[in-house]
Amino acid sequence: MKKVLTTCTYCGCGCNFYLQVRENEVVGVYPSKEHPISQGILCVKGWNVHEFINHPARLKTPLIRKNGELVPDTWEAALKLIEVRLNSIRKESGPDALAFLSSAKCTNEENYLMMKLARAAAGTNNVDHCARLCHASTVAGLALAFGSGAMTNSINEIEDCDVILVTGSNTTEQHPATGNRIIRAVDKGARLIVADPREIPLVKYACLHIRQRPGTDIALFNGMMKVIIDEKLLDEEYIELRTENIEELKKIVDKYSLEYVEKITGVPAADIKKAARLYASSKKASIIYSMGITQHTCGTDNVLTLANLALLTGHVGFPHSGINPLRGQNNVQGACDMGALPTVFSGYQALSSEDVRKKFAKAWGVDKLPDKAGLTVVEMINAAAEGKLKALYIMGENPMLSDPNTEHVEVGLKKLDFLVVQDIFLTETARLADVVLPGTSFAEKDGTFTNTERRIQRVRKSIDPVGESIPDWQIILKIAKLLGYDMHYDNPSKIMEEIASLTPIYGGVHFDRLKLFGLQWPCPNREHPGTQFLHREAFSRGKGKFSPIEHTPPAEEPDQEFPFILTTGRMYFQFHTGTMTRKTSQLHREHPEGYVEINPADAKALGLRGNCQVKVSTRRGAVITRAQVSTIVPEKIVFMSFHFAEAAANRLTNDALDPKSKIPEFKVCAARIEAVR
Amino acid sequence: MGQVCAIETKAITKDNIRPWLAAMLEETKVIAPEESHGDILYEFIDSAEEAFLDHYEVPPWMSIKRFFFPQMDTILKYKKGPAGIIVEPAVSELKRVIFGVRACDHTALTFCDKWYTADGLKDVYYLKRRENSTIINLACNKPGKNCFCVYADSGPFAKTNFDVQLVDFGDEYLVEIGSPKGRAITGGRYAALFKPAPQNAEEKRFELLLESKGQFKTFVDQSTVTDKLKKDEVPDILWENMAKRCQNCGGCSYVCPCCICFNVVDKQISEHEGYRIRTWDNCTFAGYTLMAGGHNPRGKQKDRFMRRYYHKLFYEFDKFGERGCVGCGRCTTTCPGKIDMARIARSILMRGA
Ligand code: SF4
Ligand code: SF4
Ligand code: SF4
Repeated sequence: MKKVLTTCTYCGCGCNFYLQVRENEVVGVYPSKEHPISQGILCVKGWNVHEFINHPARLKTPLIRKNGELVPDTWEAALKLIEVRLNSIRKESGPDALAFLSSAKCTNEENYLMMKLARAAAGTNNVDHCARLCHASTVAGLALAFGSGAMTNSINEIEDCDVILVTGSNTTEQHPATGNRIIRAVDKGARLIVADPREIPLVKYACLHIRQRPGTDIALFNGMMKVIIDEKLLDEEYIELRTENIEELKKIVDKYSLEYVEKITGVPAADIKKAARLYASSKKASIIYSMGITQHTCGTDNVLTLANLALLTGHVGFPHSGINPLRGQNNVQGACDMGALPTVFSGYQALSSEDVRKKFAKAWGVDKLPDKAGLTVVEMINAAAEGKLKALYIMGENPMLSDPNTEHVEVGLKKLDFLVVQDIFLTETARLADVVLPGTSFAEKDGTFTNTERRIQRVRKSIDPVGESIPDWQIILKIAKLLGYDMHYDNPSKIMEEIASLTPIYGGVHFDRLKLFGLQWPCPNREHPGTQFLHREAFSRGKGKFSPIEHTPPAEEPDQEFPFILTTGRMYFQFHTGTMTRKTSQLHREHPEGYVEINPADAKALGLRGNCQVKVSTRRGAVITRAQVSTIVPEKIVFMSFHFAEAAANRLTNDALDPKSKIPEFKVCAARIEAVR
Repeated sequence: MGQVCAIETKAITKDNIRPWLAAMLEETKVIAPEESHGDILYEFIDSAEEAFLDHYEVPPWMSIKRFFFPQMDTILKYKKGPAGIIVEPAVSELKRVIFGVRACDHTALTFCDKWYTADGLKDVYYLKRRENSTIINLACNKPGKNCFCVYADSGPFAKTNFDVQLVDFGDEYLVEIGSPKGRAITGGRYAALFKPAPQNAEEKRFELLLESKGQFKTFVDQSTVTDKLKKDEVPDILWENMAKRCQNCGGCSYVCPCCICFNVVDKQISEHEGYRIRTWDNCTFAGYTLMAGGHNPRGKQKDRFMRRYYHKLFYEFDKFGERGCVGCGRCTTTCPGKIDMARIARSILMRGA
């Protein structure tokens, strides 16, 4: 038996644990006690991470569709088929008929290679990944306001805050290690404000719970800003020295009187006032948010509004104070950093800049790189449905459960001429593929993940690949070769050398420097110790920019036919589309099936009893699930999680997009609830 | 109790520890503390050099429980063939020596022995591993900051039942041999590595024990807590307030050397073939008591949480005369809600009527 220290594959907190190995099988796990995030603690998913790795359902050979059925075949046959199909599609319809979905579950090295595959080998910028569905609006919004779209502070700074405003993040369930720091802060005397329609577990620790109607965050925070301005609680010196555009903000915000805001949000005026005063009058104040803010048609505007609030009170650029978007997947930060996005290269270097394109073309040994912005996740599906996109290559993602409006996704994927899925299990998406390639789990490869606080950490191989599976980075190299482009790396550390040489914020990142517990970017050179918090003396873009933002209602509001607001999210014992957690006995046992949370008053009016079957329908579809009658949700709002294929919340959700970041509105749509008798 | 149960005493110089480990490695598997990224962990070693012999804060992180009761253990394999179903139990036959075990973990092991043989049942998976293990204890001259074994009557030196116990005398260890298994790894081909125990060994040992006992920083009066539980004197609100801090991580049971609950699940490889695993469980999970049909007799977090402590400090004491807590303090490290054994006991003593 041996043990290997590695980074958790579930959430973005980036806990480190030891995998225990026996005869090439992972049989146990325990946290590192010395690691700065784990500190001897794991959440239940971390503590059970070993069980899915050697699960018998792991894909062990490539599968090829023959007569409508996926049957096991050799690597040779699968690669040959991919070679023929991808090349002929590219020849007939051009490189933009191809698209690539990279993966926030995979390593930085793999994401980098994936975007290189798309751009240098296939010749298209059609590369994106599920960050589009969680924090595209963060990247867009914070880049506009500060010049850099990542968590400004570190997880361990939270513990010493005076005031913490948590909004749209069920932190203890979705980012347990971070949630734990919030509880520690409260234990040490910090005051916690939770602004969330649901009564999430953190509310127990809060001094104020604000239950704004879903989709009214801008009005709420504009209201707080008006109080701050009217009561002169703003930080004038900071605004003068470090920001621009304050006048524009003041003009807009002025209209958000407490009465007006109360009408939109349903939040009592006194609470808005209290929140504003608490937040503005503390020195060490941090805003923590997640998908409750980002997954709206006004997602980018929501983020900008939070940025306004922080700038107004001088709460960015110091330890403990800042804006902290919590990134969902273990490596969604890294996948963005690596440029697995349709408009930027690694390190957010803009595709639109000719210099940048030239730099990468030169390094990659190609004449030129495509300059047309690529398609985003939902746009790829739309293009597929319209027949414009012909081939899609998906690595480690499951859009059939994770993307909005599942029926439409299915139509799109089925319409494709050629679909390749590379994954560790036969997911709902893989079932639709023409070729399925067996990739490896995080336990079977080397590389790095970047956690939500920008910490680049090692992923270490602990067992050999299961069956005939191959580490994803090696598969990408094979695919590139089929497309006529040769890449060669002895191991992932060599890939990181290339990333460092081309990506200023990762400039000093080398495997030999990551031996202990990683480095936080920006880390521009070998001597640089990494960066604990951002925007210390100046913002990445120079000055912090206020953006005046107006409240806009959600794309779909309740009406007579669909009288409820349906909002979606996750639960503690499951992760994302359940591919791994539902194969883990203890996690699955806690919540074996999905449910819809409904307030007792609504349940009574509809004649629903706890645990009874209900039909939830929206304009896009309907699912049957069980009613969980609970005051966790307020009246007229129902909640579902998207982990369960048999009650897939995303059959219901709206694929309306935020025009600025193209993130879909998972958090609000209009729904109808009926008893099933 | 109280009396030291060594059948023989010897001494070994510190310089001879690695040669001793190396010699044992020629014959058997050896588990010893190792250093990895700052953590001290028990692991199989391939060479004596891998063992970490310097001072470190005790106990090593994660107990030796998992070498007897693994986190996930395949217990049988089954196959459907023409001749019907063939079931093949998977019992480990590996022989091993575990070096550097602390008194708390050792007491926990003897406590688990009781569970695995209770009520006339014999857990072959556990007992076989137990039989195949020889344990070398290392007495604690300096307790760690969360340790409270001295109040749980399980340390800092082991009193009975050990195979071998080493007591740190500075340049050398006093070697207390307590069983035939212990004799086997200190006599015969190993004998040359040892020398006679020093003259004043008994006094010196006594002084070191006293000195160690004086250094405990965590005080947990377990017997008063047991009393209060027995008399149902702990107010509900206390349980409510503690239980609501539980984050459902499962860690407290996973790290506890005395927790023995498991869950059994079958994994199918194909229609005709599969295996059965048992995995660590935790009584604070709702699923632990969930019955088919959705009813849960301990549906509330408070009930589950309360039961954990009733079980450890009262029911088990009633059954075996020993509590299900040896005071290793590991749950203090791992509990994100800060509602571990030491803190619970403290709040019961301070606040509980
Ligand atoms: S908190 Fe996140 S990173 Fe840590 S163990 Fe849990 S899922 Fe993994
Ligand atoms: S309850 Fe805590 S202190 Fe007691 S034996 Fe278990 S882990 Fe150690
Ligand atoms: S370690 Fe603490 S938080 Fe985790 S299950 Fe046990 S009591 Fe609950």
